[in-house]
Amino acid sequence: MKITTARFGEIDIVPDEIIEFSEGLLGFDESRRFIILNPQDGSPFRWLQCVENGDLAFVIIEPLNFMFAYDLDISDSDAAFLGLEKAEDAVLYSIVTIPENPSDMTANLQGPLVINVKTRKGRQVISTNSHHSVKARILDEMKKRADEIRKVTESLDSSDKKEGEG
Amino acid sequence: MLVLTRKINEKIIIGDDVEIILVDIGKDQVKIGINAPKNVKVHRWEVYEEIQRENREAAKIKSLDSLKSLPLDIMKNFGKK
Repeated sequence: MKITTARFGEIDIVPDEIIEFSEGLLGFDESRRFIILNPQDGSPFRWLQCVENGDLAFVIIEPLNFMFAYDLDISDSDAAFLGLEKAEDAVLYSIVTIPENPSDMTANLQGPLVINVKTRKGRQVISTNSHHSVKARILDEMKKRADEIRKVTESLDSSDKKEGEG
Repeated sequence: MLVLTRKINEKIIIGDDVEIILVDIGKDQVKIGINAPKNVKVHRWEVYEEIQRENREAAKIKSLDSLKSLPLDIMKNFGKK
């Protein structure tokens, strides 16, 4: 199936890969069907391209591609809406905003996209976690993650040494 | 807009199954309780509005070319879970 897009020209998509956001995204209620375009270069940034409206596309990223942890409490009503039976079937994405200076890019952690990979239904949910910002600075989160990883590695190293001493 | 006057513990019903109760009145705020079916989404208006605004901002991005100016050591740390 071919669609014409503003950013990528004419592209061939697989109808079975279409994700149905039956309520649209917030502020874009009319756009219901989307496809995820994966990058060629191994970058974690993907495009969520609207099928009905070729002009509409969002940059998305999985939070765990730049954060140490991202815990989202999916409400019963959201799970029912998505037909979500197991947490493993859910894929989470954040919509990315890139201002003029790309170092200031942010991810929307408060309004993540939840997609059930089994039913291919999606919904932009609203997180009730007050730590989830609408504008989480991606590069700052990456620094925090690097620090967390360093701490874990150091504690593993020091426990190795203790074992060696004994 | 319909404007109703209510006292503490008095209710309003919207449709057949959304019930709103005035729980408490403070100096400059009121506490409201809402009973609604699970399929009715209830959120503070500001949160909803902020996410709409952020979506509109995000939809303006035309390409990822500007990311190429980021330092490489940042980019190579991306994507590792």
